[in-house]
Amino acid sequence: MSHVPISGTNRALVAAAIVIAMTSGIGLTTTIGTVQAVDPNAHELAVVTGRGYALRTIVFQVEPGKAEGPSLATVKPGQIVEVHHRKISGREVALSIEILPPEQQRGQP
Amino acid sequence: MSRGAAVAGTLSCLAALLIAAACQARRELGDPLPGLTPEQQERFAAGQVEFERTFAPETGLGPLFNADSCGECHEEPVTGGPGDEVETHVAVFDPIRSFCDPLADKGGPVFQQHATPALTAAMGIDKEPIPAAATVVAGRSTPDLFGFGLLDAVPDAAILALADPEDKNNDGISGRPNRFVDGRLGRFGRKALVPTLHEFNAGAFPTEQGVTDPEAPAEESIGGAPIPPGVDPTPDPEIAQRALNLTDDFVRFLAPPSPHVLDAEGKRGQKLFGTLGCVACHVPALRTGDHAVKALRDKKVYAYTDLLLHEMGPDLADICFGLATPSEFRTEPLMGISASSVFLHDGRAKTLDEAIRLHGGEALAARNRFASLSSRDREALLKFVRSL
Repeated sequence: MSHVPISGTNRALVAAAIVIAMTSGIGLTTTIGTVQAVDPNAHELAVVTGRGYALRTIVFQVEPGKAEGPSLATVKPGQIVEVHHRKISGREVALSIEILPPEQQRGQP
Repeated sequence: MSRGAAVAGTLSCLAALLIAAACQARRELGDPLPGLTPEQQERFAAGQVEFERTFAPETGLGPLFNADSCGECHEEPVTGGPGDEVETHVAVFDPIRSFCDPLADKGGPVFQQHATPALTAAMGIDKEPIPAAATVVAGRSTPDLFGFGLLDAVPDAAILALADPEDKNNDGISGRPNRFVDGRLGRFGRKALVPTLHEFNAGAFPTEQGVTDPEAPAEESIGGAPIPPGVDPTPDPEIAQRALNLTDDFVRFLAPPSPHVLDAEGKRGQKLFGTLGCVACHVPALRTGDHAVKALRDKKVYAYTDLLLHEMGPDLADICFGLATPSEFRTEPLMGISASSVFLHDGRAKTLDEAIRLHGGEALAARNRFASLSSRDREALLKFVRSL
């Protein structure tokens, strides 16, 4: 297979297309919740979310290097995270993870 | 007619008008807030119908549930009041990491006490099984809902201004805010987990009745397992947004009780309530902020709570919830307590006197001062609390 060189302009266009695909509104969901469990070996992050007492656990697939934000090894149960995710092949795949600021974590005024 | 007779006549008319106005202002339990528009009063009335609506399996009940209507629990002495039901909440607390797991992946934190016949037939259970991971099972009594719309309208800043998590003023009383799973300030529920009244109501449909609504559209699991096919054929959401909103309006517009007129003994009890230090947590009044509903805007609400968590000692401890440790509880609003026949978060106290004596932790000093009062003074204080 011959290698076709990509010009700087084309490379930028491809990158932009990927970014648009990742961040377009289609199927993209944002969840803010408390980390219930982290399994770096299975690349899974379990987050509690919900409405009132109707709480739910969502398990996110976090592929190394594919989700923006901290690595799973640094995420701890009890932390509040914001996850942008999309359902792919029946699984919630994290596109980015952000740990929210400390004042929202500890019950400080 | 003499001038004196004319003055006397005018004064008596004035007195009659004042008495009439006072009679008109006095609300009965279960009445809507004063100052609602006719349209809001209509929503309150329609919301009460939704609140009292009884569900059956064919209309969305279950497959797990605690009650078949909101009004089944919030029923005494009027709709929206407290009830005698005690439900089951479960969580797991990790004291080393200070982490609370509400067991949401195993059906928690609310474990329903009843199952529909279809679920019983399919799984052989008559209530939701408690997971083996649970270390503590907590009972939760049914509170009254009087004045909750006013509590909802208190600005976050007003609650946070009362917090003193490090007890910097050295009065032995801390008070710290709880936060919902997404970090927002909590205020509703015995552990102050839920930020808004609307979310509290929206979450109650699936957790208490097994009825899904547009804002909580997923059916509760069976201890974390999916519902067996055919057991819950009603399409989700099982109620419309309008029914949810009307239910919310009913609760939001439910007035707090009119305070009883205190006699000399009651006034003495009110003074003792202050001097004993009860008011450090049971803050007499909060003020609502700006609000789209005029009847909820800039109003003083005599709720006798700070909506914050306080350490209450090991004897009352049960589950954690959010940031609340097992022994931390939100200061229970005393507004409407006159309608209650059991007290504390799990209804263990059968009298107000017993409830006060069961206070521990930060409330221990105030409790001890109460216990050392003469019986005459104790009765005066209890008379005041019973007037709320």
